[in-house]
Amino acid sequence: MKHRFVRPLLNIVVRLALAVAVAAVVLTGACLLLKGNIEEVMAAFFLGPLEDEYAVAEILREAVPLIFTGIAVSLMVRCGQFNMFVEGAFFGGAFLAGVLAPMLGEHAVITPLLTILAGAAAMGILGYIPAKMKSSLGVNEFVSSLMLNYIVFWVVMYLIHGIAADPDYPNATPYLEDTMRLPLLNEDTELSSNLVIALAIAVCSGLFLFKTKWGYALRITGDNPSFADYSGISSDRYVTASQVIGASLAGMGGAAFLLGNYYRFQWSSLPNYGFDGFVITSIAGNNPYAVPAAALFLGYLRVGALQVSRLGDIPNEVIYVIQAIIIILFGAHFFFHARRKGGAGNA
Amino acid sequence: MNEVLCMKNITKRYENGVLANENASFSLCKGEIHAIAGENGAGKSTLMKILFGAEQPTEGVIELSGKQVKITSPKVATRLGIGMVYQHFMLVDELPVYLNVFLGIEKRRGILLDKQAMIRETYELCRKYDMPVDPMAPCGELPVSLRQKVEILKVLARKAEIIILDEPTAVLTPQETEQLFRQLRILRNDGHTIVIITHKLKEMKMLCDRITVMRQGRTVGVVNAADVTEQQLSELMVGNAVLLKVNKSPAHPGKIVAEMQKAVVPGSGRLRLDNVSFSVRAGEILCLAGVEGNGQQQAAECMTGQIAYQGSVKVLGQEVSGRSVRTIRNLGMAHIPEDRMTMGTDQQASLHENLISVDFGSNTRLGFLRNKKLRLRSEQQLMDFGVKGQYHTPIALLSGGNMQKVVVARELSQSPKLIIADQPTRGVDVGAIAFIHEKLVSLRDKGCGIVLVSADMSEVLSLSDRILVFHEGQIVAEITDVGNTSEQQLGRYMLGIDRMEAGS
Repeated sequence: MKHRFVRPLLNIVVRLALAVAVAAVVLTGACLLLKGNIEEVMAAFFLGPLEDEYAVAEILREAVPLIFTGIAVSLMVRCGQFNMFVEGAFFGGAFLAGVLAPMLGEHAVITPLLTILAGAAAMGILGYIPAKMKSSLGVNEFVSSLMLNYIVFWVVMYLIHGIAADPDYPNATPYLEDTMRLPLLNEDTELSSNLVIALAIAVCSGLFLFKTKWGYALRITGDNPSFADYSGISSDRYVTASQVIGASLAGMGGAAFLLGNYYRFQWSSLPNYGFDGFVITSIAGNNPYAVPAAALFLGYLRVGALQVSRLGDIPNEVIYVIQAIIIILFGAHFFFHARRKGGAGNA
Repeated sequence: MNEVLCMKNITKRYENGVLANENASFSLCKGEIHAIAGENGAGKSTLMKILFGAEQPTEGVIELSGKQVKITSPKVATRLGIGMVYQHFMLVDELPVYLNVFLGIEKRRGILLDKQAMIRETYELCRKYDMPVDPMAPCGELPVSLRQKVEILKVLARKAEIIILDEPTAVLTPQETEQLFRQLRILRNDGHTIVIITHKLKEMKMLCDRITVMRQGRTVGVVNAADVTEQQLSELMVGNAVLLKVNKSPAHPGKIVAEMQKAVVPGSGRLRLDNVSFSVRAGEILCLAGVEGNGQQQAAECMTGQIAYQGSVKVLGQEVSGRSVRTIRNLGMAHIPEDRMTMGTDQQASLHENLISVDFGSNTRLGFLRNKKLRLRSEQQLMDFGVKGQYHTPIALLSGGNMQKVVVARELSQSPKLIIADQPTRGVDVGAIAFIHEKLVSLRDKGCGIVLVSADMSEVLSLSDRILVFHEGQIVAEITDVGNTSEQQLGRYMLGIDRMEAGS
């Protein structure tokens, strides 16, 4: 038991500390350069996100989409797949929810749940394209899924400027009545119940990955596809399945996010949550159980950034610099690892 | 005696707590051939890696010609005149021999490579040490034995005085081994000091001057090769007497469990398997012998469903082609693969996860693994097969021999009707070899058909009931009277010098 939990945990703690240190250093540098008040900025960044219930609710709200995409990516990475369609699937799922919920009408709970399931199903089907191309034809899933993102994005853009749009509200889907949305957990802070769904998905994914035969086969395939095939586990099947499941969870996340936090779908660019998923799963050591914690951490950093930008001294861009450095810190490790694994798999 | 090197009280403890060497000591005299003997996991490779600078000792000192040295990297070792030939060759297949030999220490004229000088020097080294290598040939096209020569040339070109060879004979036929030994003796007479890591008793006696025996990370003795018998050596290595002969009664072959008819496997250039037909019966150990790359591996891979073939291959009554590995395994086929690292195990998983990979699907409830039950079973298997480790130990921490035992435990616990054992004891220590052989024989006696692919002569001759010798994709001999066949005769068949007439 010991090496299974203690070491990964220690690893994560060290990296988090490193991330916090990086944030502090960059903020200090920015303050010196831009003549900001270091004390004030630090307080806003590190304590601001915890100052009241609204700020804390904001952290949770930031974390929800990250949990979905983090889980989606972790399941694919565990199977050795680097599929970027999580981004497109999250976007597509959100759009679909914006269109579908008004069509289903005002049935509390039923409408949002059906909509979310539909988003998951639709994106799972789309996710089958790069997945099957990988397992049957050996097409690199990284490239094909990245392309699929653009296809989904531009098709949605086309639809939202045409048939899917609200006639009275240009470039957006029709208004979502409260009954079409997910119920709120707290009226005051407007915290949505999609948080509960996200946590449930995290637990279910952990159970799936570590306790079921499919999860076991998926992990074995990810570790060593030749060993899987030799043992009688059809690695191609799990390569496909992991990507379909990932895309479908991302689609579900997009739908749940829209139905929890928005009244219309009117995004005009990809939201980047899918790419954030890679950062999250990397912080979490590809462990679904640890994904919510990682998502909360990134959410905390983002709310801190928001607080700093409100002070006016430090421009928002500095926050993106901090984020980018943190992503490089975690991401470099992540992609290095990925390449090594990929190399072993292809040899 | 003129001591050139001395390692004192070397202890190596890895970060994960594994103790590879404990208070090990080792000394070398100038101009001797010295064997480091011991089971797998005895720490002999680690000790030599420390000497070569590839690993750093936790404690202990190394003295070279009486002066204490710190060998922090292989580069330092090379500068000090220590060279190592690894078991797995490190050559650039695309480059010719002479460029491999001088890789990293290229001779230059201005900014250009001085190819002529390098070719000349390679050629002279070859002549001096009687190595029949063409300096211009691309390494990738050379047979294994010659690639090994290139590795030795690399070490010599770096002016090594002390040459360490890690299990140099594992991949060689008896004839090639003899040739290698002749060259090593020339090197010794020329003033080089040679260390070979091995666990083959015969070779130690045949080649070496002195033998250092290691057990469980410690040096347990240094003996003159001339003064000990193989039996004594074996006892030193294992700690108690191990029978080198396999105890088995005559086979009683039953019905056919696997059959190959006119099987053809294409390859680049020539056929990997050229119209091969044979059958395996229940209750016999059939050995497919041959020098590596002569088709015996492909024959085994056809039966396990790993490669495509033309013709017919039937396993337990079913044509293999078009069936999944799962289906063939469900029929009762078990498979000990040639390469335990890339195929036989998941190096990132625990022992337990490695033990359940072939039958976890039938131990579930609503898709959930019956982990309690499976765990108990894994623990039992680890105990039955004497694997050092607990069910949650990461398999990567195990020594090669223990890893192989995990593979064997998994495969033999499936109550198989046919076992394809591809090099089941390669790189495994004496104790584990005897254990694996015993298990295979007892399964044979229970009516299991066993196909053994092996490059190890003594294993082939001691374990098999019947031998098919492969050469260039064809069966060139079928030996039924295994007991009265000599290693020399088998070697002649394997090298294609002799050929049995068809129809036997």
